[in-house]
Amino acid sequence: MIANIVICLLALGFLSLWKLRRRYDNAVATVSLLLLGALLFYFVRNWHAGVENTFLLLWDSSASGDIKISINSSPQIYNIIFPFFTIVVLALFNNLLFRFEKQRKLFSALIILILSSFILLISGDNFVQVVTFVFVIDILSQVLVQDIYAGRRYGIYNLAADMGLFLIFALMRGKLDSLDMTSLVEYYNNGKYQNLIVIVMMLSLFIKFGFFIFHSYLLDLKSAKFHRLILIPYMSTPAVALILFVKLKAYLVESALFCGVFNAVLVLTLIWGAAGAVVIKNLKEKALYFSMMIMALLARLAAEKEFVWNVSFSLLLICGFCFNCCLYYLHYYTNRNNTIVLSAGQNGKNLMSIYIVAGVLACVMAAFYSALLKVYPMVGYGWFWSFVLLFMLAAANMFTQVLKDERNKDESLLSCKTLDYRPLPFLTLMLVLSVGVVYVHSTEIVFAISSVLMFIFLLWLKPIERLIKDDYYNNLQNADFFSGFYDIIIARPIKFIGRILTLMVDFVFLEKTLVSTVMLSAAIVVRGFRQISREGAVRYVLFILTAFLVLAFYFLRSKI
Amino acid sequence: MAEYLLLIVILLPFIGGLFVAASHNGDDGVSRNAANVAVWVVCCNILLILKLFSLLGVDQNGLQTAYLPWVVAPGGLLSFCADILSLMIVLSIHIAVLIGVFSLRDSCGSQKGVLFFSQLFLCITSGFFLAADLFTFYVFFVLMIVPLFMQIGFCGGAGRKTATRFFLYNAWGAFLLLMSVVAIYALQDQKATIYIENISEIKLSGNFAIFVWSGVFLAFVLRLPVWPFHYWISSVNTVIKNPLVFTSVNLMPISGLYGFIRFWPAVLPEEIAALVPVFEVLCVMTMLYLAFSGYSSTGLRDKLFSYIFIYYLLYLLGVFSPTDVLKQNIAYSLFAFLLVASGLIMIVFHIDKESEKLQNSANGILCLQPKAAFSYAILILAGVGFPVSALFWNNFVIVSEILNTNVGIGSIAVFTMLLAAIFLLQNLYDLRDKSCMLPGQEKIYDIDNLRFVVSTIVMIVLFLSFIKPLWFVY
Repeated sequence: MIANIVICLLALGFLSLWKLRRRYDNAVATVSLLLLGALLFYFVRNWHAGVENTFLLLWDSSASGDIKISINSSPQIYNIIFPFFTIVVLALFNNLLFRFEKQRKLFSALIILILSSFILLISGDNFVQVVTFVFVIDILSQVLVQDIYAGRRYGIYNLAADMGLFLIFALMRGKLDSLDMTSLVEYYNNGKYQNLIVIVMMLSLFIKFGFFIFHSYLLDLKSAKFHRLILIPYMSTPAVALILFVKLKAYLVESALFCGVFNAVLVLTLIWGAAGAVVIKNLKEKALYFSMMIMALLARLAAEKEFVWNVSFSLLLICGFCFNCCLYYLHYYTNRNNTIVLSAGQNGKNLMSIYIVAGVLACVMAAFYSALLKVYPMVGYGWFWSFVLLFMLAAANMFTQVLKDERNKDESLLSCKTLDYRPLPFLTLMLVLSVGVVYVHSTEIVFAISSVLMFIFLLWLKPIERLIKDDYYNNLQNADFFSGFYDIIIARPIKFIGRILTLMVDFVFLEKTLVSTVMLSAAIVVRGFRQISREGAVRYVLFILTAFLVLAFYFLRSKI
Repeated sequence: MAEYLLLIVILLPFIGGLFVAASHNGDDGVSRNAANVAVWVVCCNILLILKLFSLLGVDQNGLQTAYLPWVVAPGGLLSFCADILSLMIVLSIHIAVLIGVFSLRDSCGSQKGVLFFSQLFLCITSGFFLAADLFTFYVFFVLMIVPLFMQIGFCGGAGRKTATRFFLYNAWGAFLLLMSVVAIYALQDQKATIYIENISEIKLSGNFAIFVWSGVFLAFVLRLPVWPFHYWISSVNTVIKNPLVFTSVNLMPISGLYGFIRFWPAVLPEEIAALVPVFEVLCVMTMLYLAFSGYSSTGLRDKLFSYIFIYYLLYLLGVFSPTDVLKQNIAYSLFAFLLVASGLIMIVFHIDKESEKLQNSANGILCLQPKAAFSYAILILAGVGFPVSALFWNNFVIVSEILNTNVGIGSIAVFTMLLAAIFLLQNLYDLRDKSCMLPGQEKIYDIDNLRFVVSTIVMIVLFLSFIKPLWFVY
């Protein structure tokens, strides 16, 4: 039962936050991993046993119905939760093997809490539960990002996307007078403002996915720590977007406007992602561009009408994360230098590690492509081959850059301490992926092997390096077209309008026009009264006459 | 028992105020005694208000109908009552003033005057929100101006011009309400008491209705920051240097909001009804204006001011939506909002004071103030609508009803909320940006432990209100 798992995860997460002495840190992290592994085992056992039930918790009541926290244990929900659960177990495993966190247990607690929120988001079937856990994941992701510079635009973009969701869910709740998400299609057919809803929904999802034009906030994450960065696409905003997309798809695919824009944006994202993954030398940015490509593919698959979230789709997500792990290992074995061209293996030991990473990466890609082959009829040949070729070229080019000739070697790096060789993560990844491929996709094993060979062939052939020289794109490394674009199109105009309004409305209009006019009028009236109140026989007579005139007027009107 | 409790809740701050006025300053000239008396009085009153909640016997189904019995003061002039809405507002105002008193710890010199008038303000606002009949309502509506005028003019650091402006605007409002009240009494049986809960059902016709409702409308609008009547409050807010006075001034618009909730007739005269959409547009334009000016301004307090008034106007739009179900949500949301706003005021004034030591901007200052940084970040998260307080779910319902009435207005309201959230978040990032730190910032002090405890309690209360808004009712 998923509800039990959520309760255990929450307990585990909060207990891991408990302040303990540093010497217990490793022990707590290890226990967390073991317990999470046991929970994953329990989860898979229940899944295969076909245990189905619903847990309901009444949170609050409203005029539109009760708000309930619901956790459904249905095969579909199990399917969706599975990849995220596996990714978290792998992340905890990495956390234990690599000493990248000062306090491992805090990091474990954080990702366990994110996983709990994911499960609650996936299980949610009412607007409030969904939007609540979208917000909660965003807050936790912000903690995951940790870095102020990286988190700045990340937080603001996500907030904008969340407010978009908030707006459309509030609108639907108002019009439907119900919080139930199953009435989405009914709303599209009978409701109002469909186009507004589609546009806002689309913008929110595109921002969360980090698709082309909206991806600049993801690139800011390059200043975050690498081991945190590799988790973000698969356990944070883009993954939330994928889940939301699956939930809202029923509404979106009804709209012709959506289909056109969506396809165009996906193609652009794929191309931009591939270009970035080839051109950019910063390994962290490369990881983000690769993730952009994978997310575009996953969204394309999920958009199909006959799409069902199955094991193959889950394997794609897991492989995406494993691919990022490989990039992290690469980063680790290149003396944690982000600019990969400058950090080619300085000695045999590290070079060996890099070759092993390349081997693991080949396995990851084999698993990825075999899973993709299983689902490709949905996306068609065009998408399938475009993605496979672009992804493989970009990945091969990355290793070409790492193992580049001696010219680019930074002399200062030669004195760097040689890093230890850790076979366990590689073996684990290979094991996980082999099991996945053999168990689920045994029929695609030939394709999997051929994709590995293809990767090695591309590594040897170095097609991109032959076509484009480094010098051509050296000046593109720090170019950030889209942040400037947003600054000029959105942020500066708002600031400018704000300043003009403050000046015009408060100072010129109110202070200098309205208030001054009233004060001047009052002064004129006072002066007038002073004038007529001065001593003088003529004024007395004038006052008496005026009084008589008023009296006469009312006497005549009274018709006595 | 409930009748006496109501009277005690109203009178206790006044008595406390007298004790505050009588207390001695310390040798250093600091009115620590007065502050302690004020804190204890407000805490006691909060406990009494909580007791009143339990006497209401509320449950989830009967929130709007649960009333305490009437209380008639000696002479039969004033009568009081309480329901969840009014008690929630009174409770939140008490907590806000309490936080304001704690934020005075940074201030130098004697604060006895401010504390005395804040107690008087609490007494009068409690009377206003617990008023049962029209006359009592009017009396406290007018009286509310007095302690604020004194605070702004004499203790708040604002000049004579600003205090006069405040007085004139509010006196106009009081005069207009007086005209309307007299007109209503003239129409009704003059000996009968006109209860607040029945006031929106009064049937008036023709020009008389227009005269009465226009007067009521303008009287309340003058208390709210709706363009072009917002000028008094914006000009007061920019010059006030005392956090408690700033808090009190920012609580004032609730009287206008509450007036609309109680007075706004269920069936409007056609002439007035036709103007409601125009007024809604005016509200939303003011929200936009506030959001833009908050985004463009560099001052912390200006941003906070914009944020606070955007939310007041959101509640006002909620009040104008043609449904009564929102009262409960507005009460819950307002409770959380006031806690967030007063907590933010406490920290913002501390940051402002500390940043005066810096030659350049305050950017990066929170790196040296970990406790303030933590409190500020959580309060901003709650304030911008993340699901950590009752603001989240109740604002969802309010926005959904506004959207249901008018999609355009609702969408712009959400956009302004987004802008407000963005400028607050940007400000938070700026204040935490290590790269902006300059040498020589060693003299920057964090908030003291007491204020950190206060802000932590506020966060806990907010979080509990997120889980169950009336968690404190037993």
